[in-house]
Amino acid sequence: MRVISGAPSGLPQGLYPKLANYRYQVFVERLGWQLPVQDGVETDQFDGPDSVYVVAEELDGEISGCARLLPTDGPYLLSSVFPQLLNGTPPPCDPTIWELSRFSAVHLTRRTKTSLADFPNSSAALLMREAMACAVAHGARRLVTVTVLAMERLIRRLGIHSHRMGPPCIIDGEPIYGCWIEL
Amino acid sequence: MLETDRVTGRVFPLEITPSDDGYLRLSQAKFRAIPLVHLISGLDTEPAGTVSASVGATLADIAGFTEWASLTTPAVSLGWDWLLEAFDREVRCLRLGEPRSNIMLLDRHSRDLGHTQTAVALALVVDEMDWHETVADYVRTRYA
Repeated sequence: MRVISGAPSGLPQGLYPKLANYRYQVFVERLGWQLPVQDGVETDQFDGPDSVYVVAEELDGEISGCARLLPTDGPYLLSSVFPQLLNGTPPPCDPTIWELSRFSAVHLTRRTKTSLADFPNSSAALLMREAMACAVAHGARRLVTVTVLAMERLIRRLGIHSHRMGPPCIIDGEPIYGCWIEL
Repeated sequence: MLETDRVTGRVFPLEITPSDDGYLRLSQAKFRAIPLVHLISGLDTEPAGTVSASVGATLADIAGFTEWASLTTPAVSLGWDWLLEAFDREVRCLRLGEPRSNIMLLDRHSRDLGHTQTAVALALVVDEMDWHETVADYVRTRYA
């Protein structure tokens, strides 16, 4: 597996459309998220030239993971769509605070189960570390993220310093959290 | 919500102000004085002790999560994982791992306990809470 990162214009040719299709398969088809889709691709209003993508690609070219990074001095998911997760505090607006979103480490054609002992070396762990390193390389000192319980646990299991903004909102029976990640 | 000054006996509103880093900073005494209400509990789909990046994992152990919060503004958030364990012909609901929260506890000098020590201290608080029946009843109803 290799990890590639960059703005859309900086990604290898053909990778961005593959990424949009991967996101469709993971977030729309598997997780059932209600997201804007068209012709088997998932993109939203926060996909643009300022977005930075972190993409895990297998040797055969199949995408097996992704993350999106956005600076908070522009529009981003937490402030625009989930302000209720801010627990009454103003949304960050700071070029050193970035948002991590659309994180997935799902291999679409291979079911993976990892024991806790092996987790630090898993692809999910690697992708998270790469995403954090990418954010740091772009000047981030902290991350915010709108996340689900599984992701919060993943971050905790990696020993990453993170903390919630407040209580979760319950959407379709699932708790959704706003979290800080300290880089 | 009110708190009482131990020296003068005067009663004040309990103020919770978020810090710039997003933490709610509280002494352990103040935190323990805040009533928490149950928000939601649920079952996990992945076996306890494994991490699955795929959906559709097989349930091998009965485990789940529970979320509690204060009714203050801003609100305190406290969540933790639990596991059902059979012991001496009894089924017990045990906390699994340390809680997750938006709290930074302070020592008696008003210094941060730190992220790790706060989690340890919150785990002790959870273990003293009477949460087991609430979670069991909620899960029974939710998945009936």
